[in-house]
Amino acid sequence: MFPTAAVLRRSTWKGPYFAAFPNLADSLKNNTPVFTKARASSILPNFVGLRFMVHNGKDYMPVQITEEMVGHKLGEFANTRKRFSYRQTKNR
Amino acid sequence: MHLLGHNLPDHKLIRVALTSFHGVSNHTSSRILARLQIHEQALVSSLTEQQVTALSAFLSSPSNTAVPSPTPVCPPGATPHGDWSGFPQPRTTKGKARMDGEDPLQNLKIETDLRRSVQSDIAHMRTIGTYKGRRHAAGLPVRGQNTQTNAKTARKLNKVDRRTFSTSPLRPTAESPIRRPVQHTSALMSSLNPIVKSRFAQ
Repeated sequence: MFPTAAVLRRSTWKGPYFAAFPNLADSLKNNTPVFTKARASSILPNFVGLRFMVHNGKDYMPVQITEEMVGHKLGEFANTRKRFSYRQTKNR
Repeated sequence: MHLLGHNLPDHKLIRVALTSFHGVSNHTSSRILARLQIHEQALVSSLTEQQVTALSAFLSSPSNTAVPSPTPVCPPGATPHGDWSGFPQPRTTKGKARMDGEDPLQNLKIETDLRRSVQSDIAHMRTIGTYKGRRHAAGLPVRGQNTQTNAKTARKLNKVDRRTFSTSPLRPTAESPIRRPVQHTSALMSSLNPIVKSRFAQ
């Protein structure tokens, strides 16, 4: 019915894109955050419970992975834009 | 003619009149007519009693309607008499367009079901805090459009319980945001688990 959804998605044979994070089991055990710039990496079921620090272009934003986030990308949870706020002068 | 709370004008093509349902496009409408074996140029006034019943049965629950066989006039195993070698043979394999073999009309969602699923998708994105969910909540365009000027439609419509644009007089009933079931994503990901594990092992 909606061919674009099927046609424009990533090929199934490739599987999801994800970066290989070293020592995932350790960071899950010690609850240490994983620092990453791989915003395009999919969130896999075995990431649940991990803490990530995802780069937003400037610094690392904390992301706690829950069950519902599986299938989304890491970058979706680290905002890259600052909310606009009006300032009278630039020199402040 | 009235069909499930919609007034279908008698002088219109049934293919056009069906698009007054939220979630039924021109394409969907032709697929429905093909499924029910109604002529695509048929007027609303020309529908027979059985056709109206079939339409309302289909539209009230698309997923529960039985799928007819693709070759309804030829019983299974029978070959038509005469020499048909020069003619295109019936397809034995599934078409290339739908490799998953999934019936698109089976998953059709219309009216309240569709509105509810759209709203629950937005609520899901909002609760887990994705960028798209945040843009919906802020009333800003979700797909990277400019915001310096314009963005009028987004300002009008984008909310956590999004007002869906509709030409029908029926208003969507207020639904509490339902958390989207995550089973299907989990099932997908668990089916991919062997691939994932093999890559981790390397």
